[in-house]
Amino acid sequence: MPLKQFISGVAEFSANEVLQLDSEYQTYLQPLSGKSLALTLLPIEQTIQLQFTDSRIDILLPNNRADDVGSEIGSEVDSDCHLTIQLSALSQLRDTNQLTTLIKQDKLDIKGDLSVAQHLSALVNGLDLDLTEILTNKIGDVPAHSIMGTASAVVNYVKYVKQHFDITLGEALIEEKQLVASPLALANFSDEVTDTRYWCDRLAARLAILEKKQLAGDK
Amino acid sequence: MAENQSSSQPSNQTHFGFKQVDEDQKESMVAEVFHSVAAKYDVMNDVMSLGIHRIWKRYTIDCSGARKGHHILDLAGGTGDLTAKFSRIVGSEGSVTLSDINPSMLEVGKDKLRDMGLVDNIKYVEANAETLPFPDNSFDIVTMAFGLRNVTHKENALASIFRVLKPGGRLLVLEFSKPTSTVLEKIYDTYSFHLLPKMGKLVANDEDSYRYLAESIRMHPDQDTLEKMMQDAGFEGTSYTNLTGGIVALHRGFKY
Repeated sequence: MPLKQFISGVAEFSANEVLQLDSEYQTYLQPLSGKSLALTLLPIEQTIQLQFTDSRIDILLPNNRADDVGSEIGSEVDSDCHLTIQLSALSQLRDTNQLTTLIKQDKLDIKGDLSVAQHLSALVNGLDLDLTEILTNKIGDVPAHSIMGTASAVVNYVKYVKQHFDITLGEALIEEKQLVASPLALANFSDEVTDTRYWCDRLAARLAILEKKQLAGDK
Repeated sequence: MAENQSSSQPSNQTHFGFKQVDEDQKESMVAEVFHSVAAKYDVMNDVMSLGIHRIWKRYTIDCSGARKGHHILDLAGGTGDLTAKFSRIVGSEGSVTLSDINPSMLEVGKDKLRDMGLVDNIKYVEANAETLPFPDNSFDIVTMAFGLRNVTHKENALASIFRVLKPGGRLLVLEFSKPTSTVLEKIYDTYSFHLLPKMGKLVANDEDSYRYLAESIRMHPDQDTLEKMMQDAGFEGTSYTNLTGGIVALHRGFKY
């Protein structure tokens, strides 16, 4: 079974289900209707194409195969806007203020109509998913409130356990097993390195002066 | 292979599943099968393949290179699974022609696509794949998903598709094929000949049609034979990809 198509199918289903949770989703999809956006991820060289209509998003994985004559990455892709981005920079893509920096760092390349990317960003950021309200419409006030209250308590408990675990693990690694240096030891080491560098520089300067004097004496 | 078996038979005989029938009869017998299963076709596809047929079809669409403005023929398109997605890809500048020899299947497809709000760029044509009623060089892409094995003269269908494709166009044939592993083949045989007809009886109250389905899959040419047939029809750059261990294969060929 083609795994990539399975993943894209699940992603497409999930994306459209999430969209439908916001009653205003068509307002955000309208400017994108009939447009497409391709996203090529480097270095894995996988292109994902998003095809928009006024009611849904289709996710395609345009196929490039080695046996295609003259095949290049993304050569099968015909989209209104094509973003090529380093996988490591993907998380920064949501912040539109970072775009110029990413382009300057050669982590992002944009071809075509930039407004498609801007409208997609508006769609992602504009979706108002009030889970309590969605649940209330489906199962009623009291069960929705109980479920959300329980979920919130569970999330807080998980956060507390994680925080506690991080502290315990940190102490075990630093104090008991001594596998990792403590922040204080690290700062002390850093200070010592700075001092050593300072004295080395002073010594080098003194040697240079002495060398100069020696040369002047010889003449 | 199936084609070799066919060639050793009297010239006016062909296979209908494991039975030998007159060539003239096969078309109407296949039509009867699909008329019988049309209403439950989508449900049975999901049940029989555990939904994997959707993944195979996604793969076909991803390999099609379809883009805005293309004219696509979804041959033997049945209930329009490929047509729905193609319709959204080609947009208002392009078109998708959903064609099937069986009016019942076409009707189910038409209803489904209309319910999905897809009306603007889809044409419905009842046609025999062996004698396509379209002008030469009409389509950028022709797809045929799970249809070719039911065609009486496959070589005529491939020649007809070659004629209607534009130069540079491509054909994609998604069809059941021969599993690459003997272990998988045995499991698959047990499933198709014992479980599948029973599931057909249970869900669609039609055991015979699903027995024919299993038999017709075995009589269909294997991967290499079908690729050779495509080459004989004039297709270039042919290749195939085995999916789910060769249970299904996607064949591709280009008209240059």
